[in-house]
Amino acid sequence: MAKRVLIIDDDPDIVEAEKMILESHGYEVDSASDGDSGLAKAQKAPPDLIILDVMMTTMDQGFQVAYKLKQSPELKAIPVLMATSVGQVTKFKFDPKTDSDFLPVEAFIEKPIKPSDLISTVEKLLRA
Amino acid sequence: MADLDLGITELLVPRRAELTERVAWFVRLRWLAVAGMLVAVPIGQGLLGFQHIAGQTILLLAGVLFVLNLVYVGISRTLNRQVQGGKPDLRKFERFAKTQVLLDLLILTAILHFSGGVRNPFSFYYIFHVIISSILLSRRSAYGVAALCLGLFSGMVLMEHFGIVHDYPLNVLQQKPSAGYVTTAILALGTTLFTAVFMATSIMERLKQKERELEQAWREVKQLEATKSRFLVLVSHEMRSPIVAIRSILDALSVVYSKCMGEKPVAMLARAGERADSLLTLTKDLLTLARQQAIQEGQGEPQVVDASAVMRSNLELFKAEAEQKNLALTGSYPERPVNVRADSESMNLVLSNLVSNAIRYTPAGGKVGVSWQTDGPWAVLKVSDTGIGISESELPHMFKEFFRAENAKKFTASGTGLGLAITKNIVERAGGRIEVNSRLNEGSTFTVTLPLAE
Repeated sequence: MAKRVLIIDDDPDIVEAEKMILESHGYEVDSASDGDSGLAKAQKAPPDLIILDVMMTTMDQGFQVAYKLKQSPELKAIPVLMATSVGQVTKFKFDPKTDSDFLPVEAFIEKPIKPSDLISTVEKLLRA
Repeated sequence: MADLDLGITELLVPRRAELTERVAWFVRLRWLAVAGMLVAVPIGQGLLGFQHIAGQTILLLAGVLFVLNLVYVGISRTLNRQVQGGKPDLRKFERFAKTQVLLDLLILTAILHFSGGVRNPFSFYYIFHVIISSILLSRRSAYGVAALCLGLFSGMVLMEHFGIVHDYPLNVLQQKPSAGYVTTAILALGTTLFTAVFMATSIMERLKQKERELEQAWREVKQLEATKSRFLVLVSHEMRSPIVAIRSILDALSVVYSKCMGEKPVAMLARAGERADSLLTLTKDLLTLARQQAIQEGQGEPQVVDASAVMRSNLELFKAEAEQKNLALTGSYPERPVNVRADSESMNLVLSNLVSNAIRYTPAGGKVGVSWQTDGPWAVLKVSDTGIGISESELPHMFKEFFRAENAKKFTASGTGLGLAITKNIVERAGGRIEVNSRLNEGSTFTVTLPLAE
């Protein structure tokens, strides 16, 4: 059965591009354009992996979503890939090695994501 | 006397630094005055034949001035400590300055009294206090000091004249000065002092006006700079999202539809992708530049970072980067901390900008060397390569924003010409300097010299 990926991102072009790449590799892809509807979709039908944008309606909405996901007993096992350009916009540079304690996501990847990086990271997270 | 307004309270905060500096200057002048008195008394009595002056009293006064000056040194140290402690009491400064001026004038008057009184031509020394007051204080206070000088002088000579106090002639030959002479002396000193105040304060008024205008212009420039930085951050940020989307769509197209598109369209898509990438690099560099400028405008706290640690944490990354291009990268740094005044993000930028440049502009098979050393009070970073080098005519422009050398443009299309401008900005903010030595086709060495933090 095809693995299901949920993309939460407010940029429809990015969603479309990621969707195309993932679908061409046999993934089933659903998307949400903001944190709340993303959480709702995840609760309704838990995906195998979530790709989460950091800056949506607010600067840190992606972080809020990540916290909520990891607090939910049913959803906390789902790996989260955080796609961000936040490292260049604010002073912070996030690194799962040092920041995993307060940012419970499995991986960070900086936008724009190369198709090969996207696929390899998704595969790695789903194997783990 | 008590209502003598020295006007210090109306001075702006930066002027207090000027005031403390002048106090230090006064202290030094006073040491000179003490030495002068010690020399002048024997010379006057021995060589010049002024046997009647009260030499011992004047030497005693020199002693008093010496002790007073020691006390002033102590008080200014305490006051300066309070300034550094953050809570300076302006009124204390005011009282301190007032006391010094008053005591100086009293001592000068006493010395004149014991060495000829109205006959002593050194009475014109009053003019120094008057001129200094005209420069440092308000116009009104300067006239106040002039009036005080004249009052003290006339009081002394009149009391001598009318026999209220003893008169010390310079020598036995000198007659008691006539009333006409005393009047003339008072008039001469009075007109000199008030004319001096008038001239000095008029010039100062113009200078202060210019200073205010400059300050205003400076503030406007700072504000414009801040607006520019904010604008730059906003624009770069707003530009990023669409470019990221463009790049993502181009990638998706070339990956997913490559088979049905044929070679030419895929190549064109790749070229469009590269152009999008160079725009992304530009927005990234612009953001960095704007952020560095924002830090420069005093939004960041001064920090200390260990340059050795920055080097240690980056070296493996650099080596991997160099290996990809088949370059040999060697790095050395002291094991002990090399602390410099900067934040770690800035230090990372300096190091990675210089090393990435060296790697980027060195053809395969070349060498790149990175080293941190200490040299006396300096930390020295050297990044050298065996790369394409820089022509002599282009060397002076290397640190200008958006400048790229002709051979660099030919060597690689990517690059925004901002990296070195950002680097220079950071280095200078940390109190250091950056230099480059290079020969075309032979290589370049960038040297960053930063002052070590205490």
